[in-house]
Amino acid sequence: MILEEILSIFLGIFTDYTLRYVALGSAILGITSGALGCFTVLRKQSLFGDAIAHAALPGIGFAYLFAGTKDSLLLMLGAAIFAWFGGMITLAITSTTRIKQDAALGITLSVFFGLGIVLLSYLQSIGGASQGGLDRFLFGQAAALIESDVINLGILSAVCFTILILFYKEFKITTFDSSFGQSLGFPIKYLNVLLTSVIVVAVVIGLHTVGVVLMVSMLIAPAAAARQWTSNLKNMIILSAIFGGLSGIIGSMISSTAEGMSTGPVIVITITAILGISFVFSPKQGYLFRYIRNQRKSQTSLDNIKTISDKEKENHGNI
Amino acid sequence: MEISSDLIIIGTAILVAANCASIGVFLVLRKMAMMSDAISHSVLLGIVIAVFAVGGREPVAVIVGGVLSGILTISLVELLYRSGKLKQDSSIGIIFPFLFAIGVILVTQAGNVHIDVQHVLYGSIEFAPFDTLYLDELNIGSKSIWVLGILAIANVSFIVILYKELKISTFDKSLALSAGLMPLLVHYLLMIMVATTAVVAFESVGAILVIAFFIVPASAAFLLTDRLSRMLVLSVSLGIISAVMGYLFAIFADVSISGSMATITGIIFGLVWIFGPNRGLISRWRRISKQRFEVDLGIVLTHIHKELGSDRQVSTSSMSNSLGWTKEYSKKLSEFIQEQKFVEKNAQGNFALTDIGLKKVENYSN
Repeated sequence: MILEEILSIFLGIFTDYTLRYVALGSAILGITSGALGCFTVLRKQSLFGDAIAHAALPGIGFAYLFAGTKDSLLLMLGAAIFAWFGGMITLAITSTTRIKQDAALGITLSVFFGLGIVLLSYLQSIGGASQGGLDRFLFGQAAALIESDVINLGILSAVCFTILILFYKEFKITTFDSSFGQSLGFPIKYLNVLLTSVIVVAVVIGLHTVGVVLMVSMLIAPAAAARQWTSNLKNMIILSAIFGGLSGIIGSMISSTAEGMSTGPVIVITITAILGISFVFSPKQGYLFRYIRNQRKSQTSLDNIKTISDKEKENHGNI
Repeated sequence: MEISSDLIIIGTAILVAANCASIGVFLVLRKMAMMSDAISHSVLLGIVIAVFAVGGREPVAVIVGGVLSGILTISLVELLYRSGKLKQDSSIGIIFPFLFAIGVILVTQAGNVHIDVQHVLYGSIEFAPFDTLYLDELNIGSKSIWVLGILAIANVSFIVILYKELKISTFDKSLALSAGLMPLLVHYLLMIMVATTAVVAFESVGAILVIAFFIVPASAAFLLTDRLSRMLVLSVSLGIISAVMGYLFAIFADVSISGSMATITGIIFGLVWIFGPNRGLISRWRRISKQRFEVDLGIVLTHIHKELGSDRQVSTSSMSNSLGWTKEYSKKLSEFIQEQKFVEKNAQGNFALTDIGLKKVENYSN
């Protein structure tokens, strides 16, 4: 009975027009942010994604204010410009003052978001209900995705992956040993800017589906989950993309069954669940196998002690 | 007793600013600023569960629920990152969206909670005047003012009583440990105060403005002073100024009050960052170019001394060639050294060192 229901939801991806685009859009987001999130996690910049996602909000407001349309490509462009600007401001604060990265991120995040709220409320006061569609970027609204949105997201994602494949070696070196990369003559500074820009694109894709607030989770959680299973960067990126895509599809399917359940939060809970499963079941670092290994280890040492004491008994006889 | 609603809103904002900006100083100094991001988001879950449990927005239940979820967030983050599986920032970035997502789903699933998810983010300080507290059916004034006022007293006494402990454990944890000042206990007490402040402030201004008031004024104050006591005073003052100016701007432009307050904190920070004495961008840039000028002055005088010693002549144009400077910069420097009477120009336009210049060169080589 339950199986049948699950099957029908799953088949819905192929038959139901809306669900197909919702699932496809969420999957694109999950795959892109999963792959690129690996770099933010490994570079210890996890919360950078949080700051630039929040920083994107005023960009959406400005794009709407000046262009006057809700054309998703224009809004995404505005979002990307501000997200990028926010990222650069954060880097500038940490490099020119004694303020540490965490506070710099907090400053960018809250101030840009505040500005975004000011703009949205201004649009509301001048334009009446027309602003309603912009609210959806706060928590994302995958359910509102239409074919043209999904095509745009797909193109952006393809751009990200092309850059990732072309610059894979360079990104790898800047991530793990940037001073070594510099000594080899790689333009580390430009590579960092390029990598930040690609992450900005991933964040902008995410604004449609999970929204500003929960975007950080889509960057970190798949990468952190993949990290539990492998220590190889290439495998980690592939696995992380799979986890991200899977959570996008599962999340959008679950949210389509329940009335009024927003897609973003459900996707986030799904990916966190995948992370939890990885913590427990990963073969090398997981809690389950570590427990089994420890049990075995103590069993072997018990056995060893037993054999030694048996030998002692044989050699010296019973006393 | 009638107090105008403007005064109540400004009063609420000032109290939020003062509460957050004072505690925020310690968050910024202890590199835990993003903890306020995590806590201010995840209190939503606690508030929603509390509302479910008691069937209404009882202030005490809401605060208890929020504080508990704040403590839950901190414990989960520390558990994750102490397990060695994740770095601290990754742990924060995983725990709070997860708890927030559960909170959002609970809110949207239960229509009767009366929490608007968007107001969670940017608050509803506009409605502060309508939320009054009754004592035996006697209207004793705005609820937010009362709650925030009590919180302010708690925060001030926390900082005053534990000032020494907070100060030492912030700047030198091992000293605090060896002096028996219990830095771990101080850490958890501070986190409880952060959670309480976040919950109470969150109720009136929303998650994002809480973060803005926690981090931005304290960061600006950090750029202005080296003394903890001054930093506290400055942080609170900047927070209050932002609150008042933000309110005035919001009324003037008819936009979101909490959004415009957050924007003003950012503008004030930007001004301090650019124009601040000693640490501002401009004075930093001036210092750096002054230092560079001093170094170049030394180079020029030594260069002239060396060239004259080997019977070669130095002019402004040969200077820019051999030292690789632009014509303008060489001209500026050569004018400066003539003004200072380090060198004299002879009829052919070549430099000769004066006695003062010679003394200065000898100073360099010693």
